[in-house]
Amino acid sequence: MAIDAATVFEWRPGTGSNNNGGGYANLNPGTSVDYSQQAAAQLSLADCATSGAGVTTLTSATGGFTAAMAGNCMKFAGGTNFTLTEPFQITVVTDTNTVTLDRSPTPAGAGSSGAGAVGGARAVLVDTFLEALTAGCYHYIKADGTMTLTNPVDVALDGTLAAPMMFTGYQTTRGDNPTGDNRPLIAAAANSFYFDDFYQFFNIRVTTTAANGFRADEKCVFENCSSDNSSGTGSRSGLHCGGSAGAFVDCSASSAAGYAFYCGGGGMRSLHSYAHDSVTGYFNTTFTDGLLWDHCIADTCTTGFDASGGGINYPTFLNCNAYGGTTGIAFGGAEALLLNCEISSNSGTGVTATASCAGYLIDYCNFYNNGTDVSNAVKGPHCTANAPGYTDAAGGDFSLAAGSALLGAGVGLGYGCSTPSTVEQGAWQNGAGAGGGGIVYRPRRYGLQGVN
Amino acid sequence: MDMNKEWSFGDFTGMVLLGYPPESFVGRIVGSCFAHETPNTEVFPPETVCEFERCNLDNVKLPPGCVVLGDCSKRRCCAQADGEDWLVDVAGKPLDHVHAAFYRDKATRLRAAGRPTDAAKMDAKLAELDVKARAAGLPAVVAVDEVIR
Repeated sequence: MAIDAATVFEWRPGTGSNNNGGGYANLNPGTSVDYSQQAAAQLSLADCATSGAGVTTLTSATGGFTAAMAGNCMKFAGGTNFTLTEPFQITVVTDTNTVTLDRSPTPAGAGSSGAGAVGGARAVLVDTFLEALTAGCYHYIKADGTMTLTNPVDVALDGTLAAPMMFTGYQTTRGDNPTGDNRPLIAAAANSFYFDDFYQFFNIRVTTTAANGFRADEKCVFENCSSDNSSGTGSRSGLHCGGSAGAFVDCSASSAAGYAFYCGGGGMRSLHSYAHDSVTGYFNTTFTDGLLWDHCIADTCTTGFDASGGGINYPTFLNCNAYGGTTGIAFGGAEALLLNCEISSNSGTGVTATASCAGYLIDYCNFYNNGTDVSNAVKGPHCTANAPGYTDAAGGDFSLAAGSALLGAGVGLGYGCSTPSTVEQGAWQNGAGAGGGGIVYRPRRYGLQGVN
Repeated sequence: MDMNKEWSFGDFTGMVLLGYPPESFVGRIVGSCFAHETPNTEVFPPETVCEFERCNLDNVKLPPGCVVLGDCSKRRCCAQADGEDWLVDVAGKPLDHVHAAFYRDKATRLRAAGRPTDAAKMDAKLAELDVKARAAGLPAVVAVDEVIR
């Protein structure tokens, strides 16, 4: 057995405890009750026992188990032969003194004097705890205080395409999808904060100085997340996708001496995201095909978008802004496409292509106040050269003020659907202020359709 | 000792707090990050008297009146020529990659748990770090198998 894949864990940095079980699955509908969404454990015992190694039946002379506890997780904080680093799930409640767990909490011998807690929210993400879970588990993190990591979280356990691991931040009530500083904050500092394949994160802020920043690998999704890497060491990342076919959606990131957004695989989508104050805004390693940036902003990055590595083919830039850097957009490979982009106030070159670039289209883009607009490339006939008319670019607000020449100056991109014949150049920001697209979030499980 | 609500559960990464009165740090500070990238950074006023619990105090030089309780991190570490963070001694000499012991221990645990594929991921991380370390003239990042031998 194992922790049920439908188990939902609750993390509350300010009021939870890592001695709590923290997880719940509705294993006995109509009878099971969720005790994970409370600060204190529902039941704390000091005399838990098993009869031998590998035994899943847990007893307590003190007792207090109820039928409603089925599906809740237990955590042991002490005792003879008890595993202290993992959660265990109550699958059957026999009586007030006896339960069956999903697996044995005492793999090495009979257990005695076990200090166990049923339910209660957990406080801080712990590597060993996360490794003991099952693909599909869901986590809620409440914004009731900074979650400070004091050890690495570097999870090797994979989710799956159909059952990804999901972490969703909330402010007051599950599902309230906070934005800005209302999202829960995780302070990782030098600790690795790294998840393997099929992990999805929503509504979470991270600060870090670690080499990989906030990282997940194959088919990862970050939505409404931010990560700021303040390290002075070069080439570190803010948000990092180490695999292919991942997505950054409505995220913001920075890395003072490195990459705000780092993509290590092909097929990566960056949508409605905001890179700022970094050496490189959006970076891709070599041999990463099929990259898409849609309505992304690079603000005050030495290089805004870097897709110039060898073997990068078919990069696509739609409605992106590259503002205030040295190089706005750099690309190479074959069949690059830049449409409706706004490239301004870059002291070097607005758009530069590698000499070997086989083919590209740059059109309906606006170039303004760059040292040189293009290098190794030719602007299309519909490109413009207007002052963009941002609401407050210095303050990070790249929405277009009324009367901006960019309004309606782009080309519609609809396929088989009703779209306006013209759209604006640059990214949507809808007047939502600094730091990204300002769209409404509805955290979803990305799966077989959509982004995958 | 009462919890210090002003400085608990906060992110003060990279901040120097010498300008605050020592009295503001009284009590027990819980769950905050005060980490720095440079070893022996003075963060708190020298007269500070308080306790820390579940805090990240990496590279922080604590005043003598401070007590470090459980679940705190208090490593001396800094970036080396391989671009990675390493544990260093008092003289700044690199000792080991900051996460190497974690990866070694984890690989061993995963193998014991019957997860050889995931254990191999840890081995791969160690091997990658070792290549970078050797290229930069740093000590080898020892893999788990070498430790066992």
